[in-house]
Amino acid sequence: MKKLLAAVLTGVMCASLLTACGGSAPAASASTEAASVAAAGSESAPAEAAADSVLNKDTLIVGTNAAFPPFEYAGADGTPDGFDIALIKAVGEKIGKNIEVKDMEFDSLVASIGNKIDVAIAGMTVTDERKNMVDFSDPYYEAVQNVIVVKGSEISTADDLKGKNIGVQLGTTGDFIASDVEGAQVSQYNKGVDAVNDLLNGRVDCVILDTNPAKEFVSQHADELTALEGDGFGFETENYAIAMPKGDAALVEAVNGALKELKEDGTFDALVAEYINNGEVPEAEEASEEASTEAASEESSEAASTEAASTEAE
Amino acid sequence: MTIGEKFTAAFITEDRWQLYLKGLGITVEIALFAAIIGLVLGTVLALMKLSTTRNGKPSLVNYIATAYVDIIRGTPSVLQLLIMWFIVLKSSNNGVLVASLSFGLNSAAYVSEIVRGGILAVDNGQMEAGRSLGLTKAMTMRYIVLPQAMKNIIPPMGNEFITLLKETAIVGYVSLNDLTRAANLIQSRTYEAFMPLIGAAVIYFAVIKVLTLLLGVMERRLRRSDNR
Amino acid sequence: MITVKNIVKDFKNMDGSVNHVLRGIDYTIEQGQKIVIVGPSGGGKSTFLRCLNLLETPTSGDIIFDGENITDPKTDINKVRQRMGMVFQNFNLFNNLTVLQNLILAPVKLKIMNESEAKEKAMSLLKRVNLEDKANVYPSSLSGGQKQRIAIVRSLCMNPEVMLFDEPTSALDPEMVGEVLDVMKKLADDGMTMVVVTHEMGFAREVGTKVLFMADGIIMEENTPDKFFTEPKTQRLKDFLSKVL
Repeated sequence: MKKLLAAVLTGVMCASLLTACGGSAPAASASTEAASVAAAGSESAPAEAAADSVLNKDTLIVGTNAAFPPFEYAGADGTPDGFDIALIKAVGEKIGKNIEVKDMEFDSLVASIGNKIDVAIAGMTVTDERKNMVDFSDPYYEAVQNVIVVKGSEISTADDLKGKNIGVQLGTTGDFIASDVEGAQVSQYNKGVDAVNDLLNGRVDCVILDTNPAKEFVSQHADELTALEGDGFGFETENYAIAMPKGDAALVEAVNGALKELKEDGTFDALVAEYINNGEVPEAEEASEEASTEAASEESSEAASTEAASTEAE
Repeated sequence: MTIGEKFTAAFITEDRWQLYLKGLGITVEIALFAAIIGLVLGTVLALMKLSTTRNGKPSLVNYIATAYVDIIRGTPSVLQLLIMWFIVLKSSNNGVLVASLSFGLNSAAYVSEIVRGGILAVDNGQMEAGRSLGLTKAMTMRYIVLPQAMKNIIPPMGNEFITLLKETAIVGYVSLNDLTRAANLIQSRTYEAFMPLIGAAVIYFAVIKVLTLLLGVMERRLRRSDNR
Repeated sequence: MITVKNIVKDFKNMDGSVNHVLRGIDYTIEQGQKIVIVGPSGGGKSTFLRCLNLLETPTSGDIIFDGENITDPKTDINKVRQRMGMVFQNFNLFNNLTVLQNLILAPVKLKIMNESEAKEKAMSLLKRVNLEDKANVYPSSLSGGQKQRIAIVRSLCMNPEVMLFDEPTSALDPEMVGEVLDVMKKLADDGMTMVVVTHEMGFAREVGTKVLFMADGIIMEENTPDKFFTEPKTQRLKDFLSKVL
């Protein structure tokens, strides 16, 4: 409802001034004056936060799509967990904000910033189209799209994709790439794992997903599937960044500062090691220790990293 | 973005209006096939539910039909769709077929109640008169009771179809690009929710409004034919 | 022709108690007889009549029709019913069919006649009840008396050996009772075997071979019409007659 209200307001004002409404009660009453100050200030980047900056809130509402392992997935208790979640919590600590994570559809994240959520962290690639709507932090991770195929598939180059039925997650980079492939029929799913399931069911010929989740899904079906690196298909390297309300320069600055500190003090690398690179290591240890009978191979990697995360959180 | 730019982005750029149109086509296609499946199977279920043994006790088919209706009505249709898509018919490549079947099986449960009610509303004397002439139960049902029950059945069936048309909005879950999904898709491209969502809502509303008007006309005709 | 042996019919009420509608009926109806059944409502008359063609299944007892025990589950009851016509209190014409379609449906669908034979028979019977001009109208445009005459004709189209009448004039406006009774009398004169449940005492006296008095689920009294009305034996019948005559 609030989203609709915000959209209507924007239309009525015919303004491109939709800055952070902040989702709080005074959102509607936030004067256009304040908004224009913020918009104007985005160029000169003032040190103090504008009146309606998200920085004035105690709690940052963070949107994500918990179907993108290892960056975000549903943890053991059902709440989102993963590298991105740990990262934004660390950022929150640095800038003195509480973090509240909201799980939603990936394709609605960008449109929700400024009304339903304050920022989004969801392995989101920086693109020009998205930049029209939101501001991004400095990139925190480099990735490339992978093409998941059934073992023995003839698909190995960009040309092979033509005319194929390609599975993707709606609104992701893979979706955009697939939609541009000549003659291809694109099946958009709410979750990457659904696309992978339909690859196994033979409904799609391949699935285009970001490297890490692609590897994650393939590892669960190692006998049947394989993930091909995007370089062979001419996919460009992309950067993941945190999406924030357009024009909230103070917030961008604070978040970038926090990211920088986290990289310098080693926290960032520790998170990468824990969630991304060494995903298998804790799995082996934890599985043998606590969940020897229960650790079904399919979910153990997620469960294990979740456990590691919760231990760390305590 | 101004409202005009938003409109352009949501409908004009890259001929996006075609996506809504195609989406509407899928929506209507699924709803139509599902309605046909629902009508046929629902009638069979209704007859099963009405069947009795010679001494008037509920028969085995009666229990089967009752259980079917119970199960379908007791589970969310989106789950039924996912089960149909990912489990039961996972080897089928025809998404519209899978969705139609899923919604048809679902609708049949509701249709069976409509048909059953329509049949029960026909005076029992009609059945007795048919039986007293030596006609079998099936013959009397076919030539006498069902034609009269149609009058009671058609109006609520129209409502069921409208419900069905709206319920298909969940097929995006299984990557079918219906009207709702088309709106989602465009939202994921323009990062703007208002125009595509309101646009899709307006299209649904317009289609259903037309259907409702047609139904009204049909209902009046049926009522008039009572006096022939 | 029809022999009824110790028929019992119990209905279970909603609260689980049992209503004994028929408490053991023995009777034999001979070919050509016109049996008229009278009695207070709730006495079991209609239930008894409906048991004869198994529209109600007796709880126990046997019904022998033309040497065949029709209460035997192996009996093809549809075949039996083709030989027994039935006329209902509420006519029960098929509302979705025209008069002519009403008449020929059963003979044609049961392959007893082809369509043209059935139509020919139907039209000649309609002529006998002076309703041939109504052949192509729907029942809803007919008066009660017309409906009941057509219902009788519908049964006759099957060439039944016996006709059962379940209060055929009770739902009629008084001025229409005569036309229906006239048709029934004509039928009786033609020698049709008839079982009639009715409140028309005049008809009973005039047409009946035997008149039965049913009350409390049994046949309390049976007699020829003249003796039935002039020399009632039981107090119940005397009370009943004093009320209706």
